[in-house]
Amino acid sequence: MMPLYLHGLMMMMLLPRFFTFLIVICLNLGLVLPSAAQTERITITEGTVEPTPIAIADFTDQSGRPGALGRTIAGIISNDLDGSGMFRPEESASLIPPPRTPSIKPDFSEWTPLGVKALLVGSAVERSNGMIEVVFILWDVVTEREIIAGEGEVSEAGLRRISHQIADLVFESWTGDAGYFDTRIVYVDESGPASNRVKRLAIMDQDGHNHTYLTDGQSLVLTPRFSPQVQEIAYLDYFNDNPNVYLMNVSTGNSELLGTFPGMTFAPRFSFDGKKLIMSLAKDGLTDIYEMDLSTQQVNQLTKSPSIDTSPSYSPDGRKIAFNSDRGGAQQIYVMDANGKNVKRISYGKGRYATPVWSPRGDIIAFTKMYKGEFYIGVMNTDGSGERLLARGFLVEAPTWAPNGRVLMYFKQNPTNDDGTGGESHLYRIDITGFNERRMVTPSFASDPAWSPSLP
Amino acid sequence: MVRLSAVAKSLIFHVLIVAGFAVAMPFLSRDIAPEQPILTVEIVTTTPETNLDEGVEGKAQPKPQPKPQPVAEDKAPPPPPPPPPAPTPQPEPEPSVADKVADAVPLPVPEPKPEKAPKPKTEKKTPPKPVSAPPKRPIQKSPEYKKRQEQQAQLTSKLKDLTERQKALRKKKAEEERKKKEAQEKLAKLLEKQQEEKATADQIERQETEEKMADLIGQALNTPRKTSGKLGVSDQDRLRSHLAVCWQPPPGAAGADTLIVDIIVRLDKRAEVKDVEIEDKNRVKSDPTFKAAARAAQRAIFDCSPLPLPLDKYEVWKELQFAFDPRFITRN
Repeated sequence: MMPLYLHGLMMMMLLPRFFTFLIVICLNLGLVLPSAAQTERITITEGTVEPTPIAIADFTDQSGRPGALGRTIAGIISNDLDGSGMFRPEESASLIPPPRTPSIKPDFSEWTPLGVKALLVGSAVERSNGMIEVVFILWDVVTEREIIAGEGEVSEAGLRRISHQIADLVFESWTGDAGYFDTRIVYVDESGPASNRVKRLAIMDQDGHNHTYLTDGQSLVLTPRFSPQVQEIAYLDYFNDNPNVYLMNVSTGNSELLGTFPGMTFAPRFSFDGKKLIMSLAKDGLTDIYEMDLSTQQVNQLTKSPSIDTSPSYSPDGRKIAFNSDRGGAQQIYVMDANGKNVKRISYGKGRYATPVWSPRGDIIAFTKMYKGEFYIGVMNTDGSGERLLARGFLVEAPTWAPNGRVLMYFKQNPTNDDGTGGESHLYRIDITGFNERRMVTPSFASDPAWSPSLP
Repeated sequence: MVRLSAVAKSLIFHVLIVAGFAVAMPFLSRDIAPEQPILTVEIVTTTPETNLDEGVEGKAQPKPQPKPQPVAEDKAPPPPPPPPPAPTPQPEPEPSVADKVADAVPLPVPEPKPEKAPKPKTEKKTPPKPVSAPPKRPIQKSPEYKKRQEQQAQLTSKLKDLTERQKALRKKKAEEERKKKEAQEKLAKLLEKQQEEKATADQIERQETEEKMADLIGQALNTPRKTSGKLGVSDQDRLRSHLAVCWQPPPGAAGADTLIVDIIVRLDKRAEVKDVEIEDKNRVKSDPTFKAAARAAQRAIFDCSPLPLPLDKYEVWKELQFAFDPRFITRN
């Protein structure tokens, strides 16, 4: 039998060469693999963020020339797209004669000098039955390819609506996100002196047209919230000086009291499926969060703490709830499971945080922040990271999401003077990249906006 | 017997292993690959534009306004009748300079431009006047001196002859040496050229082998590999900065990290875009957000055509693969 030390000796002689062999193999593999991947894929990591220049040609009529209806349609679409901050309609586009009908491919050499990347052409032809046939095509001027085309028939009363719908399709095909132009805003209309304001619920298209009052101003109304699914509003009404949450059908104007509670209910908000309502209930000096099943009106208490828990907002999948609470000493944003368990604080920046509103896309949460005597509207990731402030002012409150989760609306209020003047409040909107803050035009002062889902 | 046979078996086994390694080792040893040539890298910076404000303290906030002091407690439920949030106006002092400084993003202080060194005035130098040579002193020659001079002349002539012969010899030798040197140099150049050619051929062969190996490994690992060749780092950077101007990805799109568009671009010899192919065609059909991102990438390529590429290396870039990564939108 071979002595053990001989084995050892032999292995000592052989092992170094064997390992050298292994190392050579590994090195070769290591050298070959990265070089193969490195040479072939050029990654572009920087680009330009600016509104897309677009030419919106006046829609042609039966004569093949731009008509009055066509100009109205082009104007509405242009206003919508411009307001989104994603497009920059080229004003001089109206100087170039569009194709007689959208079916004729445009001569792109006429449009490229404008520097536009997109071109919208269309026609609006009146039929003998009084209806208007609208046809449109969106072109990519650079690749000279058709992006989207469509047609519809409306009465003259429906002209604004079909224009918003075309703007939605343009927005959707260019950005990949759903449009939000065929939507409405409900808000609190404020009139009269600051000491005796009359507050009424009002509704209008997202561009400020078709303005209507929903309540008569007899009782004070606050915090209207649109259902994400249907044209219904939950709001707080001080009817008979008794604040309670009511539910209103926007189409019929009928309201109903949502249950009777031993305390005061406020800060209502719908779940994204529209089946539940979440709100705060204050009783015996305690304010906690409750949810109500709208079909059965069954109520379920979700938080139970000596602190004030309010402003609850569901995540789009309904599995989480963001809310604000002072349980840690100062107002901060917390997230919990839909059953009230697993509460976690997510806001850790300086200042106080309130009014969390979960984005319909689910990726971020809008909030109000108070810091160094100023108010801010901002967004943060759902774990509290990536906080970005989008707007600020003396008082900036009540963020509400457009149904596509790209744009936020809120109100800004000026300070009230000693003589009772001032205190004006207006609605503003801004896209989540922080560009393009715009003031909404309303008949009088406005606060507490709530964005509707897309109209059916 | 049993023991002996076991020893014999062990010995035979070990001898076989040793023999196997001895045979295999020469094949396993490889020459170390020559070092890759050093590439010159141009650092190209592009300036991203954004209006975004980070929530993190220490960044400049948008629209600085005079500061009022509202204290709106939305934590407490509004008692009936509800007090609308009507903060009392208290003109607050402007934020202190220290705050402003702390909040502000420090602006880059422009470095003072180096002043242009004044060019030295070229003074017109007047050429010095030629100084007239002093008159030569006449030398008076004695007869002895003349004789010595003649002897000297003879000697000198002999010496001259000798020197001339030596010079001629030296010249001839130098000529021979020069010719020899030239021949050697020619030979050296020839050899060098041959070596270079051989090295290039070796390198190409090595590259081909590496690519073949990579293909084989890629196939083994199920990772598809395109054959687009190599483009210099500075060429790639030039492409990046060129395309950054034309590329406008849809901002604010959800999940920017999943919207990376891989695109194959085919170019003609003038570096003009012939056609563009989105790799993930199925996702273009099913995902409208990705479709919009893909269109934006496609548009950027066509809008930026012709691409800035070295025209003499057509074979290298006739087909390129790009990945358009829009994460910079949410990064800022």
